[in-house]
Amino acid sequence: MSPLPWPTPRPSLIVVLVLMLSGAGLLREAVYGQTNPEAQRNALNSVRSQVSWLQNASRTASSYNTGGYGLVWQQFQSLCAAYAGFKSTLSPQQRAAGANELAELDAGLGIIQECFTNAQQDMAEGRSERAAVASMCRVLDRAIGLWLQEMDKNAGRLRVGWG
Amino acid sequence: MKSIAHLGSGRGLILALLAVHFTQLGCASHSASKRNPREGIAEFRELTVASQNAVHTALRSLERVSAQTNSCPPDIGEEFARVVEQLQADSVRVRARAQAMLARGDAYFEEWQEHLAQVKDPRMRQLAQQNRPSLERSFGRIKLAAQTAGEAFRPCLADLRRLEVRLEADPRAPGSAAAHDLIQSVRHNGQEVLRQLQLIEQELNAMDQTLTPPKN
Repeated sequence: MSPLPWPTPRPSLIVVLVLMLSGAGLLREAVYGQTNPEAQRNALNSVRSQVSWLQNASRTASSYNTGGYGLVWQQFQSLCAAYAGFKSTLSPQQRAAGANELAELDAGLGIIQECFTNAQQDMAEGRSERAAVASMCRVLDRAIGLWLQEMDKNAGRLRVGWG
Repeated sequence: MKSIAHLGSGRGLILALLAVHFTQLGCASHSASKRNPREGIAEFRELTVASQNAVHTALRSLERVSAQTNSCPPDIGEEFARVVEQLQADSVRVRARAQAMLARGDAYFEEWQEHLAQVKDPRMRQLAQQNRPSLERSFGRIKLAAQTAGEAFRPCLADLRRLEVRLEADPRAPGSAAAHDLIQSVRHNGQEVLRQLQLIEQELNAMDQTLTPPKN
């Protein structure tokens, strides 16, 4: 018995198929962001660069008359945005496998952010802005370095950017 | 007009399209490696021990400040400020882990347990399965200790920082009644943090022992 003939697709069917498949890809990207390895590597490098900028700002803040609080705060906000961008590039599998580690990184940034509140509190209690910001920057510089170590460790475990 | 299906066989084209689609899906979900559970325990224990050392160092520095009856010498004051800042920064990792455990609750343990179910060593997998209730109890105790440690650590650090600021403004501050209260409060909360960190360390040791296959 001869096998059933494979139906020859019409051009319109192929167009519909292509649209469906690319639509599924777009939907996935809309929900989970760009999850391709290159996007992940770029996002991870962006986080590293922001950490470096933040550390630079922390080390030079004391040279500003006002103590550079605003500048350091701005850099911290940029780091938070870069980190959020990085998370959006992770695949659902990576997010599930690293849920605990991601929760720790989230919490770490939250705790580091408390440095800013502490500095404001110090100023409210009479400490000079320069001294309060200088102390804040020393803590930030060290803490964010440790946070990045964790970030890199987890990125390795989650095979971020692996093709 | 020639249809694009005529450019190759229709079946081949559809299969190629499907292959491209599934390859894309595959790329998007790279197989993420999970943290080896025993490595995770060892890492957490290291963090806990390092945190105990940091708290001990801060309390020792506090005692040096407290021992000053007159004006606190600058080197002691500066050392105290450095130790307090170091404690603030170095405690971030352990505090973040504690917060994540509390925030994710059972899901944290479930993920950890899931990692255990996937370890290569069949003996460890079996031990994890057999001892799940005991591991879960240990996790519960760690979570509770982490919460209590966090509750004691917050006022401890806040008081240390207050003392640092007062000392910076006035080297004679340690002799004041207000500073005396702060010092007492730091001692009390600091000891509580140490107690809870020791409890966590003990539970981690117990978990590690549970998951260690017996030597032949």
